Amino acid sequence: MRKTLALILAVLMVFGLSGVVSAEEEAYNPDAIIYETSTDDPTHLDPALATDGQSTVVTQLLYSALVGYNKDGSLYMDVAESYDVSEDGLTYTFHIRDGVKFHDGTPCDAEAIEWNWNRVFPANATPDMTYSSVLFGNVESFEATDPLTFVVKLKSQDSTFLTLQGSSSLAAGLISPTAYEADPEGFDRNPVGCGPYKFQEWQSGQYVSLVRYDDYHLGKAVNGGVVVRIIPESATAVSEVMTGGVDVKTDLAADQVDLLKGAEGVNVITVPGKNLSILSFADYEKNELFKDIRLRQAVCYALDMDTINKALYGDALVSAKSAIPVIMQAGDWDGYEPIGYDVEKAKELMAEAGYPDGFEFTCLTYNVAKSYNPAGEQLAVQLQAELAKVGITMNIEILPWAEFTERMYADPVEGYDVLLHGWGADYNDTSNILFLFSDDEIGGGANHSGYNDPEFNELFDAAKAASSYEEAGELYAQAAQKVNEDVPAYILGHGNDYVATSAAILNGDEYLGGWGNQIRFIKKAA
Amino acid sequence: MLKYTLKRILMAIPVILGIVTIVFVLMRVFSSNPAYLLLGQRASAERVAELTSYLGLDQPIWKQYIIYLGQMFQGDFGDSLFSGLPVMQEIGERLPATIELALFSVLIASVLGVSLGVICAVKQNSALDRICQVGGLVGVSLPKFWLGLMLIILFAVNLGWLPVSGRFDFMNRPETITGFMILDSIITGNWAALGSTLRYMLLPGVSIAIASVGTIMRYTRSTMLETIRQDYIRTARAKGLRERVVIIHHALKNALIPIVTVIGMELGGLFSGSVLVETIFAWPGVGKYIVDGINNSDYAVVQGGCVLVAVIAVGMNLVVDLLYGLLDPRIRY
Repeated sequence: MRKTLALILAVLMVFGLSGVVSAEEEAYNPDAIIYETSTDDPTHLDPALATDGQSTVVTQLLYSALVGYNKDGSLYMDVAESYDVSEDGLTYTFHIRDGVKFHDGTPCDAEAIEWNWNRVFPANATPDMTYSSVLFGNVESFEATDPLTFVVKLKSQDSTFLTLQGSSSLAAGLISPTAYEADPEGFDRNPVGCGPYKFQEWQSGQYVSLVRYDDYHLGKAVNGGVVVRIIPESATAVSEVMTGGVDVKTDLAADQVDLLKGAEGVNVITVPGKNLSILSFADYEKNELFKDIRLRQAVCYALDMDTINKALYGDALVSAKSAIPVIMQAGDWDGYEPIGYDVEKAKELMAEAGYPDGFEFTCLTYNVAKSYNPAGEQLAVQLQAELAKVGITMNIEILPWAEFTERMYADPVEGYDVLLHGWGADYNDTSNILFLFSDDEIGGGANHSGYNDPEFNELFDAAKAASSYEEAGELYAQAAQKVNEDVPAYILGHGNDYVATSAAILNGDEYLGGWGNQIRFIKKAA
Repeated sequence: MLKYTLKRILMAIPVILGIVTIVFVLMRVFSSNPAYLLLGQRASAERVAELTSYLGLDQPIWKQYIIYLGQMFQGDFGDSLFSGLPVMQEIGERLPATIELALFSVLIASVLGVSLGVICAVKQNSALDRICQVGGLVGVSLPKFWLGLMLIILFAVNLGWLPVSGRFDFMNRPETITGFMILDSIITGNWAALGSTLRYMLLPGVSIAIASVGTIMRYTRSTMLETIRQDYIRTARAKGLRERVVIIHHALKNALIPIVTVIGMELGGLFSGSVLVETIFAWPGVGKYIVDGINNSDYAVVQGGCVLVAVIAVGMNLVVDLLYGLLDPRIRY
């Protein structure tokens, strides 16, 4: 009797389990197309020319590089299977995976990589290859010593080198030499890489469609392809997510997050952002007011960023402890001492500096929503109101993005005293945040405050040349704290990244948001 | 008529040349250097200077202008600084979407506007007339972007009857032959695609048409009111003709000239793109393309776009004038 019961139970369990499995199998359609959205057409699909978000949303799916980024920013071996570093840290030997093929069937071996590096190497790059010098500036020489070995010699020890080579959506992305040489002019519109998806079609103003590349060297994608739909109006894109016309929407504005959180079936994934919103005292050494650190500090003490961030963005902007976002290397260090909110201290400093009744200055800003400031020009208006409370008059000049960028980079600074801007990191290395204060970027570069502190420069350079990730992290943390102390700029906050997925997406939480692009793991219901 | 048409086309050349010159100078003097946007935020002053020179933008304006004119007369309107593609090719890719939507919405607007206008004129001062007058005013005053968003929320999100945005269903699209989706669906006999295309066109079409319905209706009403008081209408009625024949064949036909002018102007405006509606419904038309060109300081795009708008305006004026001849036997060219 017992045996019979056990047998019946066993049979039931097997059928029951197979029922569960088949229900899951049924729910997931391995050929489903994932619909993503972007606000505009890509500018370029050639990774050497790509610089903006609407281009990289596509290029990151088309191309692979020597290494790649996991969601948490750590590196995985991509086209390279492994690598060795020489004792002096100057020579990297990459062992290339055997059998990697571009979408056109040609081999992606060490020779193809050498051809790619030659094309984007600073000495050969065209002026529109923005990231050439960023990614390869410290490379002395490179060579394919055999079909599966690629040797790179650096000019100096560099803790960022390997991370930079993970930028497959930018100039580190490997393209097919055969396809490029057959039609160099047409390549940008008909790209061939060796990433998880291959190019299918680009209809201007409508979509870019990609299909799964079945011979992808890290295992084929779990879905049939990706279509990036061009939807300029974010309210429309949000409606599409609600009705299932779009499966994945990144860069959600703060006010859309609550709307989508309440929508049936829609999932909103929140990931700490890798960006910063920043108020730079423009070229402050030459500024009559702000060459005095007390006035720079007074402005900072007068700003109640917790309240402003809450009022403008809800939870979308996190007040900063330092310039480094918390999810990046050295971002969560305990030793940071940020300038807090203290009106009395602000007034005291103003009086000490000879301006007890306040002073007046001009702030230059932009009029669009950014991931580090979803409220656009509203942020400047809020800062203006806060400063008025202690008698500081901040005049605001608001410009469209193109004009703002031109004025921001113009050297010398003209017509404004502070710059309200921001930065989103391109790759997971803190040097891509702290370079905003580096002496290399003074005068027409990204160091808009003209901060030139020997101690900071030393720490920053030492961190870049550090032999280990941990050592680099400690040095970056000290450098960021030096910025907190010297106040060349005030760090207003770090914006969260929000990704919304439609009801059909089964495993968004695990793979979306953060670094890298994990769309190849995304499953969609049938 | 051929001589007249040719004369009008020749007269358009200095107009277009003038527009090209003005736009050329304005873009170079007042817009920002596109090199900053092209290079992204990692641009250094040195690289910006390098790229500006690479693009030929450091040349004196007069030199750039002569080069541009030379190319233009050979049919080359330059390449977009961003995509690197010929501007005319990019406009050509987008124009069918714009024309299709414009014709669709003007068709809705004309049928509704003229019918309502005639009814209002015939039933002047009735309750229906008053309702239509108020409705027309509201239609003209409603901002298109707001109306578009409301239509999306109601018909796409809440009721789920129509798609939110885009031009076609990815799973159900006709083969591209002419670029006009309706025409391509009919040519290939793909009736499912035709139905789906019309569904995608309905919300943007109605968003644009609502304002035009108001305008056309009010014009029709006022010209019809004027016409039905004419002696020949009285004569027609005295002859014992049926009221329907009097209104449609005698009054409406004579009232059509100003109405055709209004419809022609509406259509001309729409052919150069309805930026807001294109943006909201992700409709891949030329209007948004030109505005993006302005925002990006993409000189060739703005110049090419303005030439297109000028040609359309001149062309629509000519078509309307030629239509007068068909409508009124007294007008001959």
